[in-house]
Amino acid sequence: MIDSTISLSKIVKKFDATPVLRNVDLNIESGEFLTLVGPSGCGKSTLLRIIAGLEMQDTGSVFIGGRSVDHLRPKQRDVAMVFQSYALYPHMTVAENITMPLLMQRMSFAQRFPVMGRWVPGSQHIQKNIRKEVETVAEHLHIEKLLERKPGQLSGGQRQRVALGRAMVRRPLAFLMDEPLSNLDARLRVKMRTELAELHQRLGTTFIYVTHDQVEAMTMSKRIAVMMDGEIVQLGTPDEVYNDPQDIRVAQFIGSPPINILPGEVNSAGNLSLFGVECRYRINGSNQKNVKIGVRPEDLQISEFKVGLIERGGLRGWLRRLENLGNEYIAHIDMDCDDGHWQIAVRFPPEELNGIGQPGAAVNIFLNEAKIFVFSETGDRLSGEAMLQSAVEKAS
Amino acid sequence: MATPFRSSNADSDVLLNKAKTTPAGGARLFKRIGAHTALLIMAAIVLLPFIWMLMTSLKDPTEIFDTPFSLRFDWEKGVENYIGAFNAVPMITFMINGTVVVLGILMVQLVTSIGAAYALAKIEFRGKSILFAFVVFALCIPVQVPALPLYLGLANLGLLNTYFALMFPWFLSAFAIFLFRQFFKSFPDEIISAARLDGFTEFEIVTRLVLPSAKPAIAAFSIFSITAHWNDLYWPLIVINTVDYMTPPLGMMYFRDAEAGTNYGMLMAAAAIITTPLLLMFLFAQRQFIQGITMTGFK
Ligand SMILES: Nc1ncnc2c1ncn2[C@@H]1O[C@H](COP(=O)(O)OP(=O)(O)O)[C@@H](O)[C@H]1O
Ligand SMILES: [Mg+2]
Repeated sequence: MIDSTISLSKIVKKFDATPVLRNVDLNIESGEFLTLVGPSGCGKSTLLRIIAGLEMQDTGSVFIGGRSVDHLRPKQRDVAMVFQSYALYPHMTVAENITMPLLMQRMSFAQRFPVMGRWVPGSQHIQKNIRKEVETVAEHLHIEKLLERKPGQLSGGQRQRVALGRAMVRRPLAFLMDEPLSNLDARLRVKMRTELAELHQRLGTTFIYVTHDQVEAMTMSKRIAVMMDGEIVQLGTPDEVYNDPQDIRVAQFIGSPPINILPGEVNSAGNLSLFGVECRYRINGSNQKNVKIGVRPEDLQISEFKVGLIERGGLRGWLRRLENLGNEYIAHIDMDCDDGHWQIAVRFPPEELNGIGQPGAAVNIFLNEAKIFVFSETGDRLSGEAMLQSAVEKAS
Repeated sequence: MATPFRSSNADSDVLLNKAKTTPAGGARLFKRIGAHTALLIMAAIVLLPFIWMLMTSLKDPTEIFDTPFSLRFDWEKGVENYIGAFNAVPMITFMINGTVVVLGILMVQLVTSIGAAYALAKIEFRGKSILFAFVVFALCIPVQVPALPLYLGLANLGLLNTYFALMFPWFLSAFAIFLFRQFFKSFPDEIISAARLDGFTEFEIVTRLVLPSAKPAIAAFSIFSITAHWNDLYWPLIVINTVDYMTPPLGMMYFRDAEAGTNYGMLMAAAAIITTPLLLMFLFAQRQFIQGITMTGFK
């Protein structure tokens, strides 16, 4: 089996004085589908371009298939890239677009010289083989009927397929995809997502898939690298990234509606309180006083307001708006406290609706301490543990 | 650059539509007639010398000054004038010289400026912005400034009275570099990246991808260049003094001095002959030319 691992070691890149990539380390296994996700402008495209050799890193090294490729030009690195704009050659037909990579790879400069190249020995034979391979790829992608058209005459989805064909045809060691689906409409995007996953299974090559869409990231791959401000802040399975975020930016970026971030306080014993109400949660060995509590909308419970519930650890808020998504509800709650005004989203199934619904009505919110994440003021995850109910009762 | 042309089109469309639909259509129509009359008058002023030239070339010498604008043509005399123009001076030689010179200049200009413009538009290298500043600076230097050193250099090398002397000062065109650089800038970067990954050499990127999109700009520049150098009198006058290498305008001057000093009919026939190739060229390339100067590149 061909080694198509990709390793990045301490990649740093600055444009003028602005650091765009700060010390990126990343190891991608042979045949892996890795998603690189992060907000726009965090340096994803720059990282791909460095892997492809289109841009030179300032320091650090890129290894493809186990060997350093820092001195190699883009075409020698044997990776293919699919661009957001598809980047098809505008004056060439679909067939010519897909032919180009093979032509450039297999024919000498003289052989591929327009018109004259035809008489250079060997060129005819190569041309014939190339033609066959192009047709095979076109059939795979169901674009065999479009071969004689120009890119301008194709729809977005068709262009996308041609771009894939052009990338596939020379069987590269790895595919680099830079937001390939972001120009498609929502329905087509879902369809192409599946097709790309299948394509990866069939080809078995390494894929690096860049997106700013967290849904794409969560659904398409086994491992996700979350990138923020030129750094990879967390690398893990979708489950780890969602349920165990190591950085507040990861927690905020992944998940929709986004995670609620609330102000917490830690007392000297390490006990956490929220809006002055003590929680059954203890921070391990940290001297932080003010912390940020992250809690996902589905990890909050909501109920109609009853005075008695406040005593049992419930928080009081006012319902601002209720969204019915069919299979679930999302309640947007206003909360006021000494520190100011907060908005919270709560997600819950229709069965738990009982009585909630009047905008402006008071509601109770309960926290599920086992599911909260506590972050320091600078955004690092703090370790801690939820205390069992009985333990709290014993303590008090 | 595209906007002035575009918006004026859009404005006139609006005018047309309103003229058809609004009740005050009559007033609109009046306005339009006024506008067209004004335009026609201006066109007539611009065309007058040209038409005068054609009329004069078709007249008897005695009538040229008596009734310069009468529409009475002497066709026989006209034919005689045209044939005379060919026989009196080596008109064919002038035309061939002109063709060799303008095409030679254009070829070298295109090769040098397309390479430079691509580098300035799409390749990152140190000192790029300074080089581009030099190009803009060079745009501001009138051609007369380097004329003397160029003349002395060519004279010292014994190259006066050659095609090379006629063409050499124009081989590098700052205007062409500037024009093409602006045009190439709008070519999508991702396509160039894709091409580099696919193994295109930079030369192939330019010839196979960028140039096909730049056809309108090339057509526009070609017309500027051909017209300017076909009509140029200043430089040929400095470096040429044998009939063998005279270009059409210089030939015209020689004609006036030597042969047909007072034969204005024949002189105008000769002038009409040397203008014809330019007219034909413009007619053929009109669409490309207008596309090129309005810079409607591609999406
Ligand atoms: N050629 C360049 N010159 C200067 N700045 C650049 C260049 N390319 C990218 N940048 C900057 O680098 C940052 C990261 O860009 P990019 O890698 O395209 O982000 P992403 O793909 O994650 O949206 C952006 O702030 C962008 O403005
Ligand atoms: Mg990007």
